[in-house]
Amino acid sequence: MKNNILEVRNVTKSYPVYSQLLHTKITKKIVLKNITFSLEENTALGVLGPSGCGKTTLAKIIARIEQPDSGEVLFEGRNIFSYPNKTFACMVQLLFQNPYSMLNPKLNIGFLIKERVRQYFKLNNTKVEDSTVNKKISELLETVKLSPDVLKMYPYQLSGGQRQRVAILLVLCLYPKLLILDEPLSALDVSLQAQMLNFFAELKQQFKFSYIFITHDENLAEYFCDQIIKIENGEILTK
Amino acid sequence: MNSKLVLEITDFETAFYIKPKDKYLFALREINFELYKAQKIAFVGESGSGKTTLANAILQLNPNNVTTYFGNIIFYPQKENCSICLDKYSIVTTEEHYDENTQTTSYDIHTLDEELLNHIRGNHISMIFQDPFTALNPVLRVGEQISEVILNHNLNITKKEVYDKVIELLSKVELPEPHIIYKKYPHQLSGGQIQRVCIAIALANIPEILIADEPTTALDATLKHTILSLLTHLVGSFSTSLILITHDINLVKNYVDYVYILYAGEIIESGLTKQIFYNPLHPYTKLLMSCSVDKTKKGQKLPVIPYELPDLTDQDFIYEKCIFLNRCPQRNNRCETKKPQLYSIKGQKVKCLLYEK
Repeated sequence: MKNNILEVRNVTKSYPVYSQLLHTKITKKIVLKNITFSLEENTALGVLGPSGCGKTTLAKIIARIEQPDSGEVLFEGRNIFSYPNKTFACMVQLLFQNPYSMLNPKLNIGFLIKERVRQYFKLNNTKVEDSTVNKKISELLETVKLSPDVLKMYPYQLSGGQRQRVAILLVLCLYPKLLILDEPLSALDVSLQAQMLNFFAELKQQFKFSYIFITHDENLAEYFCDQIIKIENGEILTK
Repeated sequence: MNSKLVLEITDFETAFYIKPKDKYLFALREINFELYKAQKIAFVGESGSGKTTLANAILQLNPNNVTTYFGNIIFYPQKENCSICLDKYSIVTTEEHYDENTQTTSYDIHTLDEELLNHIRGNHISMIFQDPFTALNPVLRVGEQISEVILNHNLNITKKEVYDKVIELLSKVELPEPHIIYKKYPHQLSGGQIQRVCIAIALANIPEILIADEPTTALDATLKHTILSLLTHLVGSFSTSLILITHDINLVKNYVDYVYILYAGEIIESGLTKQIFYNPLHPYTKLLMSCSVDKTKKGQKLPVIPYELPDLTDQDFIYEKCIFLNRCPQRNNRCETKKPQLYSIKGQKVKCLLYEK
């Protein structure tokens, strides 16, 4: 029997709606209503629903970017807000739809990765030399099947698949237990989609990751995920 | 095909000059195709295969300073009552463009000046761009943006007529309450609504050709089919020819008559949609179709196309060998020494030595 890694209990979230003329709050729009579900270790949960149904808001709440109005989210039995920032960063990571938004266009890929790897060692209170960092980087590059040439490149010089892999590498650097993927394949072509799905499945086996896979593609969710929840108008329709 | 020819592209090539490397990148090569009135065709290929470059080349939208074109893009205008063509440019009556034997007017798009090109863009040939969010001007109301296209290409039209036409277009693209949508700014609309507005802009002057460059990539799965159904229905009702560009081979199945598979700048297979789907010949097409995600394959590893696209600056490779050589699961020694031609098999065309007669 697997343990629950994540429990979402009665989460409700609303956003204020402002009047265009007066710039005052006139009402509130409920985005999520009483969302309850749990996720077991080393499983993939698909979150399906049309645009604007609250999928990304749910991801942001689990990743602690947004606070719920009511309800709570438990990670390994503890409320997510009770974890120190540094510890939580090593537990849950969010991968966005657009990898560009994760990569600073003015910095080369080598710098971006090095910065993140140093952060990993810093979070674990280990002092490291450059050679250890470089060794770690080459290990990670091998995991995501990227050649070391990309280290000298800038984000705009990479292809769509390479950019997505770099974004995944940045997330992997911290070895999180839960990876939230927010529509990671919607901008990729079929061949790259297949490559990335195979890659996610390999990572799941290798690192025993748990996934929350947010998508609007039912076919994709049914292929990749062990459990699926459907959200419509902020409510869970089916599990 | 008995209908009238609208566009004819022969031996077309496009090369971009890369200044830092002092090299040419041969983005499109040996492109030949014909488009007939009311025909719907699709160009399918993975990222970087040259689909958008081809679409931009037809409308001369690639950057002039770095682009070199070879070959011809011949456009046959069909509008008999285009007031600007008749009055301002006299295209229809110009001798150099008129062929008495066939009684048709035609002109090579690459030889036209900027003023005439601007007349063709949006009036004779329209385009729907990939990202609807960046296609519209954020500081102009939606109605004004559609009116602009109508006003630019129609002489002697009153404001009332333009307004009525915009409202009619908004209802044709199935937008609810067109009078309210007219006054809205792009940020107040959803992705699907914006894409419908883009379709309305593209079809405002009932063009002869509509190029839809990945019109559904930025939309969610349920909207994709709705938008494509609407697009093909409208195109059919106006007898406009459609060039659909997409990377999703399964998406085009029910919407187009003819499919071209583009790989690294070359058409490697073409045929009727049924032929391509039920009897794909080229190893690349077969791989592309097997890659698509299917829930019945759950738990299995998906087949992928190994390695990356070839280096398109390497002239020795792209002009001497099979372009799919590095990734082909069925390659043999001959593929390294001979460049395949397009071989015709029961109406289907394929560029692979396996089908050489």
